[in-house]
Amino acid sequence: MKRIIGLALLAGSACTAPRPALPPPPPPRSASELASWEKPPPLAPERDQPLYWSSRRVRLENGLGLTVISRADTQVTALQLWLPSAADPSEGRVAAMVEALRAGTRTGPGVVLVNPRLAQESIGLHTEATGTTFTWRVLPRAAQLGLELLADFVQHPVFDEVETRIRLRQELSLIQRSSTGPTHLANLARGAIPGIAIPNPEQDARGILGLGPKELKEVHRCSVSAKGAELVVVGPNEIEPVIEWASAAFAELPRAPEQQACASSSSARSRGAAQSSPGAGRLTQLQFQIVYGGAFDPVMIMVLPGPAPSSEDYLPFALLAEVLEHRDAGSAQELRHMGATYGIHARINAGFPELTLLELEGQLDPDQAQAALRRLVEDMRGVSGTLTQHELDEVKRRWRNGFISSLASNEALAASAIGEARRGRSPEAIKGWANELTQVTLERCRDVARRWLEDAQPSVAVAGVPVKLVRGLGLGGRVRELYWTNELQEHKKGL
Amino acid sequence: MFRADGEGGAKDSRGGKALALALALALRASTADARSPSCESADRLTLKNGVEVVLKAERALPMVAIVSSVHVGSRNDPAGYAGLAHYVEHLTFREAPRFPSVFKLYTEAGATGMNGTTSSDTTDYFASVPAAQLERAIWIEARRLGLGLSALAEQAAEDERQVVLREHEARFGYAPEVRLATAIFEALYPVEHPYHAPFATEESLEQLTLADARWFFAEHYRPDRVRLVLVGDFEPEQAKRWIERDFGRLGPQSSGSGSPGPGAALPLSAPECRWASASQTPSRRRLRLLSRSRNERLELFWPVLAGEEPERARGSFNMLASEVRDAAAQNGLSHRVSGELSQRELASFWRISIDIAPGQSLEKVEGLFKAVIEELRRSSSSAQSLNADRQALELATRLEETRAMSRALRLVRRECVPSSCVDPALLDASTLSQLDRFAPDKALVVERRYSRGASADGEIQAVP
Repeated sequence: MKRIIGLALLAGSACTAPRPALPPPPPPRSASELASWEKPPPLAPERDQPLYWSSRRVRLENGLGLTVISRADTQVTALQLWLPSAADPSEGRVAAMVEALRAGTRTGPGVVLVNPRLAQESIGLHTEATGTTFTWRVLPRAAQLGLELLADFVQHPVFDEVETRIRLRQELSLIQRSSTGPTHLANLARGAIPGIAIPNPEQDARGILGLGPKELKEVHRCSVSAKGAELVVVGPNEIEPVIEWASAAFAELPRAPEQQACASSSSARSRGAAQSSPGAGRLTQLQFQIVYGGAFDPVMIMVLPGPAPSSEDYLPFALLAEVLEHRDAGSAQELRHMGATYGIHARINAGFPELTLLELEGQLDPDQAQAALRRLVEDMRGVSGTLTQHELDEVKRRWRNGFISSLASNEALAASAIGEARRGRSPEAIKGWANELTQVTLERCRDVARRWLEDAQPSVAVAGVPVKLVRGLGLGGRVRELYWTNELQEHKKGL
Repeated sequence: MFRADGEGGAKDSRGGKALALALALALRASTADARSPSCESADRLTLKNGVEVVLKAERALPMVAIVSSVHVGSRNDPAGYAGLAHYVEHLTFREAPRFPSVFKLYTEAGATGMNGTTSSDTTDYFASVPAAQLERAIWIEARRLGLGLSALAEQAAEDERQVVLREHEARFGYAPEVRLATAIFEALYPVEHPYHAPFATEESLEQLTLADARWFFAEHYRPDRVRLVLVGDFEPEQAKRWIERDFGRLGPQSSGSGSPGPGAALPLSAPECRWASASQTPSRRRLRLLSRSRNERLELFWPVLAGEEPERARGSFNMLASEVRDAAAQNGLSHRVSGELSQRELASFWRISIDIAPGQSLEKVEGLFKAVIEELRRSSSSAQSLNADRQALELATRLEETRAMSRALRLVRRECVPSSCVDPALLDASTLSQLDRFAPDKALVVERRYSRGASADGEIQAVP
């Protein structure tokens, strides 16, 4: 019989023994020594920051947009393909099909599998409501082979039954994982916004289990096409050969999904015009989703709809999100300084076709959760009146420098180029982003804040606070109460 | 639906192998520019007060990565004060009367990515700054050391302690995880080893005071324990002038005790470095955490052996991790397998972590692991897979070299035993045949098991 030794006491025993006293700290540094650190060097004037690369943008015969950016001093070639026809607003079928692409592709001599070890790195897949993005990084001398393999991966799946089952089983596990925790909390908050369909993990799981090779092939036929699609290649390779390789590799990508067979599925995904003004998509009152269970301090995510990326309001709105997170006078930082939170982080979620979501999330001290929630909402609503030139300039400076730093990565540049291509612009427009930023004025930001944030009614999901905390906020609103379980289903209790 | 990519690739297991189209087939290994960043050359100097400076000037982008590293870490926490080094790190960011916070100063300069980390061995402070503002960044880091905690108010220190507690909660959440982490390190390192110490707990953090932090700062934040690294677009001679002006005037804060207190950091030549050359064998072979969490996991830890150069075993390790990942996915046993080399100054370890898929058992996963190793031992590495491993390592190395901050953080690293530079392209069959050192019976095996028992939640067992 094995002798098992319980370590619970051993591992914790150091805490119960009295600890030795430390020596007293030395005297503080002298006043003159401290004073010598009061004045920092003045800020130097901002330098012009030219960006160097050459690029070319073409459209292939099948309509696929192709952008090639050549950066001689980089070491890795990034490939990125965006297919808007492979959008998956909620059903999960397209996402499952994309994942099942890993089950095999037909090329040349026969069926091959893109083994990530042999192909240096696995192909990244990300499906959301606006489309599917494929990302890959290869050694520059492998760029041609990489393009050919990526094209085969996307265009010629086999959906082998055995391999597909393996991949979809993995997908099921990932869904189960994401059905609890912060991801689920975020989905709860987003799902309260009108017009946003958030996947139900249970539904997704049922859907995936029913997908066989025949169904997957149909989804593939209806989803994968060159319609609106963009391919970007960024690396030290010369431009012309890359255009030649990509044209040959993606020649067979169909121009559009088959019209009749796919009409029913495409209409389910059709959407109206991009949201450029507040209105549809906004809540008329605050919406709280309170989730009980879990062992942590309260975790919160606050979500508010914003303008579409194509809207003129988008850039000021994104800057406002940064202001809310970083401003010294704002509640996010003050709450952090008080120890009430371990930081509130803001981001713009641009994964929806007609709008964006401003999302603030973080962990709250339970004793100060109520004050923190109230302050964050008030801060958001009041920023149109409190925003200063100084803090706007700081945010703009940081954003510009963060963008410059990100350009060290060809993958990041490829993503930016995709963004520009989606807006019908050349990648050279990226070089002018810094100027675009400087043109965003204080008055413009205030105007955007007035229209989008002043009477904001966010959707808030909180895990770990009692409902009385929320009811005592004094902000009104509707409350839903839910419970974590270990199963895919969630139990809903009362409204 | 937001579906991020999971681990990729499933190996065909049906009779007869499908053709695996490897990018490596048509490619010959290149030996050019595929070196580990820690091997890159840099301009090095030492100031009169002992501050070490490492400069790597280049013009790729108009920015500079700055790292100020103090040679003190969690291994220097005095007994009963676990978490003190980390607490001090947090406090150096706070504002004080007449002194704006480090964040504010950097933000004004348009810096990004400013943060700090405390490891077992060092506390590193870093930021990416526009090239034009390098003078300000150098001054900020010098001020952090020169100002110390003298001007900090008690309330600010108390508030930051709450922040540290929140961070601890976010990271560990579940108290038994902390105890398990402590138990793992206790098993990997003997009692006298500097890494054999309890992890910080809520209890230990609750007791820390500003006076404790001030003593720790004065004791350890000395100029001769500081290494400053700059990577990016700057003029070296101008940078040296600023560094000499600001870092050169730093002196140690006088210590009331007149002698090193408990847990004092020692230079690399000190006797502590003997641990880097000592053999390590885990004192226990298997730990088991019982909890009510259904997320079961199997982890295996292998200490890096005395005299072993970890980079030379990386090929074998990567191949093993990949094969385990493929096999586990293929059999539906796991959807997430990760492998890493955790490198520390005095001792490092390899780790493979396997999340068990719902409905599967730890025993099956462990059986699979053993089967994979046996299979790999039997079959010799093909030229194709050998070349592929080289390509993968070369790509990984180039990706690391992409970011100035990654390279700066590698240049700041200290090693008791300097590692040699390994060119991934030179990996050969003998390098990849080091699988035996990753046998399960040489590992510390850690299980996280689901248990319904009322008293079982959080119990840690040592299984002989």
